[in-house]
Formats: sequence, structure tokens, C-alpha cells
Amino acid sequence: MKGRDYFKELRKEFRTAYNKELADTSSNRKPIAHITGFMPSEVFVAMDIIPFYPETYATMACAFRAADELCLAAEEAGISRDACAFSTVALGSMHTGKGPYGGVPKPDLLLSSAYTCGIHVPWWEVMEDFYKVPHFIMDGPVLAGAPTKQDIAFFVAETKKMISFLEEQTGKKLDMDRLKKCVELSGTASEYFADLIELRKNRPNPISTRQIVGDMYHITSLPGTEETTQFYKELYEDTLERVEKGLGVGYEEKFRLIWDNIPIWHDLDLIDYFEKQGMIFVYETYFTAYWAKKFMTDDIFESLALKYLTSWTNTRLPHKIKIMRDVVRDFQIDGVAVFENKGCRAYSTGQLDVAATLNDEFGTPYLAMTGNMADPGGHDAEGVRHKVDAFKELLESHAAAKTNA
Amino acid sequence: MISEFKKIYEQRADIANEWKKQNGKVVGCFNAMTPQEMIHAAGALPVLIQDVGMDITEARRYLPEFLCPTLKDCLAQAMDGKLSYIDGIIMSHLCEGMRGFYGVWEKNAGLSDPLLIQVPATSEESALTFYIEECRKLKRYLEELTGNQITDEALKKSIAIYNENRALINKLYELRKPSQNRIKGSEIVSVLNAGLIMPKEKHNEMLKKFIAEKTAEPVQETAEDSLTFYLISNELFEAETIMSTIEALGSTVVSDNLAYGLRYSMEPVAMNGDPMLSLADHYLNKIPCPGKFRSDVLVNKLTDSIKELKCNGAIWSVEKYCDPYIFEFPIFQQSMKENGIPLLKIEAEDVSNSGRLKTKIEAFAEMLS
Repeated sequence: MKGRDYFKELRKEFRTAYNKELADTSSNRKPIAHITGFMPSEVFVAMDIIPFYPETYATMACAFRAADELCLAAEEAGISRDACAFSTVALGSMHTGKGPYGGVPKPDLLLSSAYTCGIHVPWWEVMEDFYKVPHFIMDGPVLAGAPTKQDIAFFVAETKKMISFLEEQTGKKLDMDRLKKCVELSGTASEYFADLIELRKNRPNPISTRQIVGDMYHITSLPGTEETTQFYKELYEDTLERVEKGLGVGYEEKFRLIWDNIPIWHDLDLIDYFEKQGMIFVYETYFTAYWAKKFMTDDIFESLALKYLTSWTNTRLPHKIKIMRDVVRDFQIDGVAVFENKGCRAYSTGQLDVAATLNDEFGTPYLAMTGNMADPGGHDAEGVRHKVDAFKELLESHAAAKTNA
Repeated sequence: MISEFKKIYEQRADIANEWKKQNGKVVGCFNAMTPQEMIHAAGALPVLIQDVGMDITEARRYLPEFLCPTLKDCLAQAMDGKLSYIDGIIMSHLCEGMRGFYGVWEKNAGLSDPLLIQVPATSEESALTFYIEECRKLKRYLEELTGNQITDEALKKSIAIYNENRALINKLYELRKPSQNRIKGSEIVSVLNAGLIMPKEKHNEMLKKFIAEKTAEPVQETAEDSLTFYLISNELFEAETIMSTIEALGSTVVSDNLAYGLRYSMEPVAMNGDPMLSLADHYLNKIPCPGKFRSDVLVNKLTDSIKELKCNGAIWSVEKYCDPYIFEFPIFQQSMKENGIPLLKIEAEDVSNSGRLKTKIEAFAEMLS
């Protein structure tokens, strides 16, 4: 068994190499494109363009305790702290040049997407106004249900348009064989990740949320590479071994919980606070809806459409409820932690309905906490922990009532 | 006549119920990007659902505190039975608030299931092809709801009626310009409000009469120290409060970018060719809505208007949590700075506190005098 530290070390090496490439100023450096997490980054890998994600950068700024200062800088530049918190952190870095790794790198190209999050286009326009570099908007459908033929056709047409834009800007033709290879590698990595999530149905849960939060860095930054796919293969195999040995996350597993929403990146210790008290997270809507899924078909463009269109924020309420019903049953859920995230309206709207439905149908208790995924300003860490304590009591009394019944 | 327009808006439920008795269905819409001409062509009455200042305590059980206040207010109206006259609902996806709201509304509003129309962010061929299909989906929905077929002829007739409305609203804005000064900004809000819930033909009749009356009046003299402002606002309820406060202080709001004002009316829908295609092209390309148009284009348009009208200053007052405007603001702020146009930003908290609002505007006016 390789253990958590082994993967942490791999991650460190990967992050160092990735950031070194971003900082390259040599004449033959690769171009940098600021893109959203919902664009087919496999295309960029196949074209030797470095995809840079301002959202991921914002999570890193949280880890480096730089987010508050950057949000304040954004506010001074006219961007309200009511905006998406990833945007305020990253735009604060853009305006000041401050933040981890010397601030956000200057892009050669900007590419935003409109379907999974409506914030990206206007956010990228603020960057365009600042950097004065070409900006491509990738359009796509906001799904009303499962993706239809019309939805997929729209996404595919837009992906091809994006490829033409990149070819025009870089003067390089996309090698379709290379793209195919990248998409296949990406599909395999996501399948390992999905299988790993399935392993969390076991008691005890073999891998912690805290570890996955760190270990998702490869797949969110560079899907479609051998290195990323190998990382998830090894991570899956290691987790399987933990299941076979009956190993949990290091704390007693009294209650099994769902975390609904994006993590609180500036207060990840909150996860530990739950788990130290026996409330173990075994499922998160965040991982499965975006990266841990099986999307490969015979057609690479259709595969990309299925990967990037079917995210949690592009899923309607009835479908979310259906997924969560299965999760409650299959993962033997005792409670739901609903994080009402001021930093992301799209994720947060409808959460209370999902939790209330699970409560009505299964009697599953839920805890509603309000906070912000990336802006630490005004974060009431102590108040949230008091709520967690009260939730534990609720879970205990609920469990006792079930035993007595 | 302003009192008549106001009365109509206040009696919107009675008007809708009367319509139902005489004519047929009532269809609710959530924003200016819904092709209301199609609802009209199906023989139904389109009504706009907007913020009316409800108590949102009950709606807050289902929606986050940090969501657009208008959407919370609309759900509160539905849950309180105030929209019971509505037979069908159309939501055009324009912003992040609407994304999750659709499902919450479907589950909790207690009304028939809404139809979600997707509005692409761009306007090139793939986007237009997609949007035309969405319009066809809307057509099928309306035909099923009303039992009436939407023929090309009916659609052309409806487009003509709506185009006439657009032309009349343009005329209103002309009469509001400093050179004319015959209509106040707050009066225009009342006129627009009525038009959002009453049959368009009747609104057109009233508008013609109102314009004739105002045109016959002499040009109003303005005090020497009177200032002129341009208002950037997305909500009629708030805009009326701000405009009335400015007018009470002896100044005027000479134009605005209200969703249902000039922004909606500046261009007519093309009358030649396939009416469905004309509508799709119009709603995708001709209405400069911040949810769908590029910020730099919108800011340039606003800056040009403010300069053309020689406004003394610009006032920015946008509802809290409105993402498209949140990101447009820094670009607009920069443009105002570059063009030497004084700018006042009014927060939602200011609008809900009349004393604070007045003080803020007075201080801005003093700075400009």
C-alpha cells in the first residue's frame, strides 16, 4: 500500500512542474490560455497549450491564506464581493500581481464557456479588458434534463469552432490522433476516479474527503496525459487495497454523511472537525458531477460533450433528487451537510429542496450552513462548528430513535 | 393619465382574470428575453412577473438568502396565491439565478410546470440554429396550452402590434430628452409597468393618447441649477423610487437602460421573411441585455448615450446579486473615468432607506453643482 503521503508527494511534483511551465519565459515557451473548468481541456493538451484555471488558482490562494487580501483588492477595483468568490480572488491577483506563485500568469489567450456557469463570460470579459488579448466564448446548452441530440450537436459545433480559433491563434493544426489519445486517457482517468468513489460505499469509508480534495488536482488541471491517468490508476488500486484490509480514514465511523456543494477552501479543517467526531463524509456532489464519471463513447466529440455538459450546475432539480436518493441508499447515508455557498449561486439554489426531499422520504437529517467557498471575509468558523456540534446531537438522537423503534 | 397606467398595474390580477373569462389563457414570463409575440399569436395574454415588494420569509425556506431578490419575490407571490390566474410559465435562461430557480419554482410555486427556454450566449450560426429550435419548442408548448395553432399570419400580425408598441415607447423617450422635457422618468416607469401586464393593443391605444396629450403641452422650463442624470438600473420597482427621489430634488433622469424601456424597444423585429426566424434573430441579436451581450459593447453603447444626452452624471443602481451587472460595473466605471463622467453607485440598502437615498443623491448633486 502506498499511502496518502505517496500521493501527496506526486501531487507536489506535478504542481511544481505545472507551475514551472507556466512561469517559463523562454522564447520557445508554450502559450498559456486561461480557460474555465468546463471546457474540453483535452484539446489544449493535444495542442501544447497550457490550460490555466483561475478557479483552481483561487483554491490555491485559499491554501496559501492569500484569498482575503485578494478579494479586498478586487473590491477596490470595483468587483463586488457578492460575485463568484473564485472570480474575486483571481481578479484580485490579476490587479495586484500578488498571490501564490507570483500571481496569476499573464495569458496569451482567454477562452470562456457559457453553459455550465453563466459567470465565466462576464468574468473573462473583465480579464479581456485588462490583458487586451483575444477572447473566445464557447457557447453551449443549459440543459433542461438529460442532454438531447440538439444539446450535443450544439456543444460539438462549438468545440470545433474553438479548435479553429486555437489553430488560427497558434498557427498550428490540431493532430486528431493526438486528441483522440488525450480524450481516451482522460476517459480512463475519470473512470478510475469514478470507480474510486464507488469504493466509498464500503464500511469503513476507505478514503477521506480531505485526501480527495487534494488528489483532484491532476484531473482538474491536466486531464488527457499519461501522468494523470497513471495517478488515478494507482490511487484507485491503493484505495481498493484499503478496502480489502478494512481500513478507514483514521476516525471512528459513527455516521456517514454527504457534503453538498463546493468545499470551503479556506476552512478545509472543518471537514476534520466533523470527522474527529465520527461524522465521516463518504459522498460529495462536487467530485462525481464534474470529474469522477464515465463518459466515453465511440465518438470523441460526443464523449467530451457528455463529460462537460453533465455537471451538477447544469443538472435540473428532479435529476439531482433522483441521484441523491440512490446515493442515500447505496452509500448508507445518515445525514447531509448542506453548505449554502454565497460564493456560488448556481450550486446553492435548489440545495434546500434536495435535502428536504431526502428528509421527507428517508428521514435523513440535514444541516444547513452558510459561508463562502473562497472568500474568507466574515467567515464565522466558530459559529459553523457550534452548528456541527448540534448536528451531531441530532444524528445521535435520530439513531437512538431508530434503534428503539 | 399616469394615474390610469398606475391603476392598471395595481389591478393586474383583475385584468388577467377578466381576460381569462373573455379570451383564454394567461402566460407568465420572467424577463424581457421571452418572445412575447408568440404568446400573443397563440391568443394568450403575456404578463410579466416582477418584483412587487413581497414578504419573502416563506420563499427563503427554498432559496438562498444571496439569490436575486426579484426571483425570491416572484416565488413568494406564487406561494401566496397571488399568481393563481397564470396558466403557463415561460422562463428564459439568462443568468445564474435562473439556473437553479427553474427547479425550485417547479417544485414549490404550486403552478403548472414552467417551460425553460435556453438563450445562447453568442449569436453565430450554431447558436442561432439552437435558439430557433428553442423557439419551436416554445411554439409547441403554447399551442398545446391554448389549443390554438400559431400560424405565420398570426405571428406577423402580433409582431406588427409589438413593433408599434416599440415605436411608441421610443417616442416616449424622445419626449423625455432634455430638449423636450415633456415626460418625467418616473412617469415612464408607470407607463412601462402597465404595458407588461395588459393587452398590447390597449397599451398602444393608451400610449398614443398619452403621447398626444404630452406633445400638446408646452415644453417645461427647468431651473438653472437642475441636473440631468442617466440611470443604469435593472428593476422597475427600484428605478421608480430613485427617479422620484431625483425629481423631488429638482433634477431629472433623462434616460435609462431599463429592461423594458428603450433597451427592449430600440429596434423593431424585421417584418420580412419567416416570422419565426425574424423573432429568433431579434431576441438573440438585437436586445442588448447584460445577461447575453458582451460587457464592452454594452458599456460603449451606454457611454455614447450618456455623452450624446450631455448628462451631468451617471447613476448606477443594480439589484444585489445580479451577476451580469456585477462584472459590467468595473468596465463601466473605467469608461466613466476615461470620459470624465461623474458616477454615483447606489446600493440596494440605499434604495430601501428613503432618507439615506435622498442624502446620497443630494451629496452627489452638490458635488456636481
